[in-house]
Amino acid sequence: MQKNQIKVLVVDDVPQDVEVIQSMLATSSVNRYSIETADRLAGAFRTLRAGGFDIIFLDLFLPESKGIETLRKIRAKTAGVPIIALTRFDDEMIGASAVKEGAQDYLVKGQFDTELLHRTIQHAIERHRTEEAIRRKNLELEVLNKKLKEADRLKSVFLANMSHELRTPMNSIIGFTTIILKGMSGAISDDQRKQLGIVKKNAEHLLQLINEALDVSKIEAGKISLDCSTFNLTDLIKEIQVVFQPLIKKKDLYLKAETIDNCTLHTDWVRLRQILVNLTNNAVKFTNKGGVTVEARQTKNEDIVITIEDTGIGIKKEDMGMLFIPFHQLDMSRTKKYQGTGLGLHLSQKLAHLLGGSIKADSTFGQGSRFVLTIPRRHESAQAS
Amino acid sequence: MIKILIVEDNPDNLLLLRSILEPAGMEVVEAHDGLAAVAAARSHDPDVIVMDIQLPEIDGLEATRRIRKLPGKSKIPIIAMTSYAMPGDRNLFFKGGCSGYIQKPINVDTVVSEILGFLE
Repeated sequence: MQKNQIKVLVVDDVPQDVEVIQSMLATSSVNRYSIETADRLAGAFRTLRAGGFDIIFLDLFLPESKGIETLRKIRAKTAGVPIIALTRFDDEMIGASAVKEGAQDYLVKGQFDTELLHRTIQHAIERHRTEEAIRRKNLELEVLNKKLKEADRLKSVFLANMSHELRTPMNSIIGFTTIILKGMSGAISDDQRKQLGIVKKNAEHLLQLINEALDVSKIEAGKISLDCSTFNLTDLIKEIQVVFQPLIKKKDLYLKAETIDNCTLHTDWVRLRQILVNLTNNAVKFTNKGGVTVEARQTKNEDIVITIEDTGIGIKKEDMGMLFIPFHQLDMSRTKKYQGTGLGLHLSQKLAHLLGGSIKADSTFGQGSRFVLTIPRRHESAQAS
Repeated sequence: MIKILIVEDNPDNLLLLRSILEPAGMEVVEAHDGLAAVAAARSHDPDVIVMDIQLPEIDGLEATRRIRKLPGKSKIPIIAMTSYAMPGDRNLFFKGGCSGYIQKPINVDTVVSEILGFLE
């Protein structure tokens, strides 16, 4: 077996002590040692400049530097080399201090034999190598962490800018279209009214897409914070009825609501309303005969269950798995009959999770669908406070 | 007649607001950046200010802060009208001294009554 080459520096002003180490090292069967010596710190620094040292033996008591200071001075110049401190028999305590200050180990002069010396060197080198590896990894992680934090910050800035920049042109597109449609800038023909109506409808659709895409991004970036308040469930259900009344009338459908009297919720009104509007909108959109039933009930364990059931076209069994996946509106045929962003259900599910609940769906193709939203009556943050 | 100062750097959005507010019987004065907004608040003495937030020179929040320091302007309604719609933005505007917040795109049907609502 080939011997390992180990380069040693012994810093000690007592020639006899240096000789002890030199002779012990010469007998090693495992390592081949090349040994340099220095009797003062200045000499040690000069020698160390050559580089390549694997280990330093350091007598803590030199004529010009005494105690822990000696270790500090040499550590300042040789961060990369493991140090074994040498102490006197009557001052072993300082050895322990030296280890605290970064020495790998210490030996008490006159108290070690060849075997202990070799083992100490071996351990010191190995431990130092491990420490170095950990230190390097930590540095890498620190850099990586900084990069991630910066990326996260940039993502937030990007989201905010994107939101701002997309909304600004929508303001004049939708605004002026509305002004012209209202006849505020003069009379328009029926054809123009119809065409401009299409422009407006599509601009609003685009705005909805922007809003939903941003909502999804905000949730994913953890940028949506809930704004919980206490309110009556019936008030919210009534509002949903009012919102959809015109559309229900236009499609000649019914909209039934069964709610719980005097049921107060403590959760985010805006987000819950957003989910219910979304689910009801889907139900109305995909129903051409019959109607939609919104039913609320409370479970024993303080959950509120809101079911939105329709008598619409229904969903095929094989499509059920795709329901909550973004941009997967199920009817992807070229003659897409039903307009939508393809984000609504995905967003609703994410919002439901945010409220501490979830949405489940079942359906019979050709007969209708049922979406069931379950959320805690009191949002967790409210319970904690 | 209600005099309204519109602070807006985008000419299209400025024209849009004019086209809505003037037929509603308001007298419209304009400023196109934050510094001009402060000067106009002083010289035109408007009843209400509609303030865009992202503006050249100084932004809408800084302009609001400076207007609030002008004599007799500590209570004037200043309504932030902005495309900033991230969570927390609304609070930021109120903390910065705005009296109200209207998000763009504006609703042509309701914007006049929204503004009048701040003039109680």
